[in-house]
Amino acid sequence: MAISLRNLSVDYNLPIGAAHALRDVSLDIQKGEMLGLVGESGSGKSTVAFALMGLLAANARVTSGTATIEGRQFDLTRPNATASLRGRGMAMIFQDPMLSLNPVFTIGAQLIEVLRRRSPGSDRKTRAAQAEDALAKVKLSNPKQRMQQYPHELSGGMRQRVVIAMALLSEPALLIADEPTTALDVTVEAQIMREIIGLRDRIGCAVLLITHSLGLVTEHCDRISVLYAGERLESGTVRDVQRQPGHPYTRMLFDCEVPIDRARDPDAAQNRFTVIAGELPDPRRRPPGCIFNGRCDVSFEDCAKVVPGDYAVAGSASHGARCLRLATP
Amino acid sequence: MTRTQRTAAFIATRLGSMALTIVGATLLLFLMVRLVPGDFASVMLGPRATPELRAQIVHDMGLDRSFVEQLWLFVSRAATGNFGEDVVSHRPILDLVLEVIPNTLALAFSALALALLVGIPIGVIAALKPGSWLDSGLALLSISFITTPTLVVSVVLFLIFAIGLHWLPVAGAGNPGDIVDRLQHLVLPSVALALGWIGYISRLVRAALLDTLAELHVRTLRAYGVSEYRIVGLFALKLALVPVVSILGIGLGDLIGSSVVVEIIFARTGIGSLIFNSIAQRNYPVVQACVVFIVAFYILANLVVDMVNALLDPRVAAGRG
Amino acid sequence: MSEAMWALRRICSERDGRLGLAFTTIILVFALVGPLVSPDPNVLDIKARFAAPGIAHLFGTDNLGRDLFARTSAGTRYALTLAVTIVVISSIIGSLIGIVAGIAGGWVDRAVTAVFDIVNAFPPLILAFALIALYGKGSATFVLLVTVVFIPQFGRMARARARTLRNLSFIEAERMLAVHPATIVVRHYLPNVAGPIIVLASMNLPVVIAFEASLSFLGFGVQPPKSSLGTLIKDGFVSINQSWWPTVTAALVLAVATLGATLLGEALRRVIDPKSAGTR
Repeated sequence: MAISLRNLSVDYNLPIGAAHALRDVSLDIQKGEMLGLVGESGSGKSTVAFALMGLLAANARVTSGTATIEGRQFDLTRPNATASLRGRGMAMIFQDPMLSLNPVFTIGAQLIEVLRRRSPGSDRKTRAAQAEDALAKVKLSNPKQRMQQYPHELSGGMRQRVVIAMALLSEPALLIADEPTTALDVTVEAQIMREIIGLRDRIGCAVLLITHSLGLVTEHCDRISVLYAGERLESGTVRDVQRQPGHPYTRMLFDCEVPIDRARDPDAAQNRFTVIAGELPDPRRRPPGCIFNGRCDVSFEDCAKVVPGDYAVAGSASHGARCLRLATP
Repeated sequence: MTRTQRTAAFIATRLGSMALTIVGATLLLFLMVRLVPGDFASVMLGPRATPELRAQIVHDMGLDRSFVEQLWLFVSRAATGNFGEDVVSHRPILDLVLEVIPNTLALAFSALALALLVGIPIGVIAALKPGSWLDSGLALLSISFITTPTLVVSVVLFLIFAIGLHWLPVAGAGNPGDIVDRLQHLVLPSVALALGWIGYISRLVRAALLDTLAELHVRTLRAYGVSEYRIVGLFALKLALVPVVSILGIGLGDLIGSSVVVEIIFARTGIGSLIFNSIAQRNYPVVQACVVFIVAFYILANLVVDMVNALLDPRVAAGRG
Repeated sequence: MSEAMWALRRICSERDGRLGLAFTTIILVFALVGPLVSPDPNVLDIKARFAAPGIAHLFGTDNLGRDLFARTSAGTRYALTLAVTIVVISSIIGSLIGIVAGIAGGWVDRAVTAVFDIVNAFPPLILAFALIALYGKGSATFVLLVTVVFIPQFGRMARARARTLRNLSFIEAERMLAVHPATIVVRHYLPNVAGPIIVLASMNLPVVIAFEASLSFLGFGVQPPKSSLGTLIKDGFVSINQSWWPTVTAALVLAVATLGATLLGEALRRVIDPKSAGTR
C-alpha cells in the first residue's frame, strides 16, 4: 500500500497577513521506501509533516489537500482528519529530543501510554513488557532500568531512541521523521539513522524523512523531493536526481555541498564556496511565474511569466521537475 | 548516588538550612527584646509596675544575668520546649501554646484544602477553553477573590450569616468532641481564609497549564493519539502543579498570618487570638513563644513543600530544574 | 512625560487596565473630594446616630452620629498616604541595600541574604505584631515597622538585577576604566533596577493597603484620633448589631481600592516589563 499526498496547501494567519506556507504539494511514498523531503529553513517541510498528522498550530489553515494512507482517503482540510491514525497508522519522530518527552513522568509511563492507545484491551503488565522489549530493540542499554528513569537522566540520542521506540510500538504504515538528527552530534546521527532504517526494515512502513541535509538523503533515502518556498520543485530517485538534477535549484543545492575529498588551496582565501544568492520570496505574495526566478542562474524571459508544470527529466516517468527549460523539446 | 541517597541528602540539606533559619529567627526575637528602648520589665508591666513586681519579672525572665547567659538559657530551654512560665496565669507557656495550636492548624489546613479542591478545577476548566467567555468570567471572578482582603471577606461573610441568613455559626470553634459541630464552625472561617487563595491558585493553574500545553512533549503525546483529557488532566497537570506547590509554602505562612484576623472576627481561639491578647496584655514572653512556633511551622511547611516538589518534579531532587 | 502618556495609553488599551484606572480614579476622587462635599467628619450628632444613607449623610452616620461619607473619605486619604509612604520608603531602602549586596558579593551579600531570609521566615502579619508589641503603637513607629517587613522583597529583586548587571561586559569595561563606583551605580544600576522595582512597588501597594487595614482593624495600626479604613471597619464591627452601614461602607471602599490598585499594578507591569508577564 502506498502513501500519497495530493495538492496540499497550507496558510498561516499572521498579524502581518496570511502567509502561504505550502502551495499544491504532492508526494508519493511506497511501502518500505524512504523519501527524503529536502529544503532550506522556511521552505515549509515541517508544515507538511504537521499537516499530515493534524498537529498544525492554531493559526494554520489547510486550504486544500488529500492524503491516502493504507487505502483510506483523508480530507486534510478538516482538522484532526487523521486523528484516528495517531499512535496506530502514523508515527512521528521530532526534531528536538531534549524537549520531546514529558520531564515529570518516567520513560516507561510514557511508552505504556502509547500502548494504551495502540492496544486498549491489554493490561498494564503486558504493556510494560512490550515497552521494555521496544527499548531493547532500539538498542538502549539496560531497558529494565530505563523504564524507571526520567528523561533528564538520558542524553539527547537516548531520548530520540525512546521516541523511535514509541514509533516502533505504534506499528505505523507511515513514519514521519522531522529532522530527527539536527539537534544531535554527527556520531549519534549515524546511530539514530541506523535505528530509523532498522525500524523501517522491521515493520515495512513508508518513511518520510524531512531534512535540510542532502548528505543524509543521498546516503539513506530511496527517493528525494525538493521543496522550495512551499512548492515542490523536483522529485525522483536519489540516483537519478543526483546524477542529473532537473531543476537549477537542486543542482545548486548539490553544488553547495563540499565533498570531503575536494582539493583545498593552501591559501585560505582562494577556497571558494558556492552559495545561492538572494532570499526566499515573501510568503504572503507569490511572485508571478516560477517561484525560483530571481535566484536562478539560468532563467530566461518566460520564467517570470509562466508557472512551470511538472516535466519529465530525461524521459523518466519517475523523475520530474518544475522548470521551463525542460518544457521545450 | 541512588535516588534514595539523593533524596535523603536533599532532605538533610533542607533540614539543616531550616534549623539555621529557626535559630536566626529566634536570635532576632531575642535581640529585639533586648533592644527595646527603656526598661523592658517596666514596658511589659506597664502601669502596674511596682519595684517588687519589676524585680520579680527581671529575675523570672533572667534579665539580671549576663547577655551570654541569657542567650544560652533561652536557646537551651527553647530547644527542650521550655519557654518559661507565664507571669499572668502561672502556667507553662508551652501549655498555653499547645492548647490553642490545634484550632489554628485545623483552620489553616481546611482553608488550604478548600483552596486546592476548588482552585485547581477552576484553573483546569479555564485552561481547556482559553479566551472564551467562560475563561474571561472566571478570570474576573478569580481576580476579585484575590484582591479582596481577607478582612473584607470575613466581615462580609460575618454580616451575611450573623445578621442575615443564619445557616452557619459565626462564633467560636464549636463544642469539643462534637465533630459535626466543630466542622460547622469551621466552614465560614475556612471560606474566608480560602477565598483569596482559590482565586490565586486558579489563575496559577490556568497559566501554568497553558504554558505546559504549549510545550513540545505535549505535542508528542498528541501525535501518538493520547486523549486530550488525559493530556490536560494528567500529563500537563502534573507539570503545572509544580509552581502551585511552590506557592503553597508562602501560602501557609500567609494563611497563618491572616488567620489572626479571621480568628478575631469569628471568635475562634487559636494561636492568632493568643498572640493578639498577649500583645494587648503586653505579655511579651507568650508572644515570643507563639512567634517561634509559627516561624518553625512556617519553615517546616516550606520544607514539606520542597519535598512534595521533589516528588512531583524529579529534576528538582536531582539538583536541577 | 511622553513616556508616561504612552504608558497611560497602553494601559487604557486593555480591559483590566481601564477597570483598574477607573477604580483607582474613583477612590482617589473620593478621598480628595470628601472635605468639599460633606460635613465635618468630627462633628458629633448623637441624635442622628446610625442613620442609613440619605441626603444629609450620603453614607449614613456612625455610632456617634458622625457623617460616614466624610469619615470614610478621610480614612481613605490617610490609608492611601500611609501605604504610599511605606511602599516608597521600603522600595528605596530595599533597592539600595539590594544593589549594594548584589555588587559587593562575598560575605556582605551572604549576610544581607541571610537577614532577608530570616525576616522572610516570619509571616508578615506576625512579624509586624511582634515588632509593634515591643516598640509600641503609633503612626510613625507603624510606618517604620511595616517598612521593615516589606524591605526584603525589594532588596531581593534589586540584588538579583544587580548581580545580572554586574556580569555584563559594559560594566566590566567601565570598571576597567576605573570609573568611580558611585558613577557606575547611578548611571547604570539605578536605571536598570528602577523598572522592576517600580513594577514591584505598584504591585505591592494594594498588599500594603490591605496589610495596614488588617493591622488597624486589630488595633495595632493607626491609633485614634487618626482613622484609616481599617479602624473604621473595626469601629463599625463593634457595633455591627446596631447598624451595618459603617462597616459595609468602609469595607466596600477598601475592596474597590485594593481591586483598582491591583488591576492598575498588573497593567503597569505588562506595560513596563512584558517579559515577566507570562501568560494571562
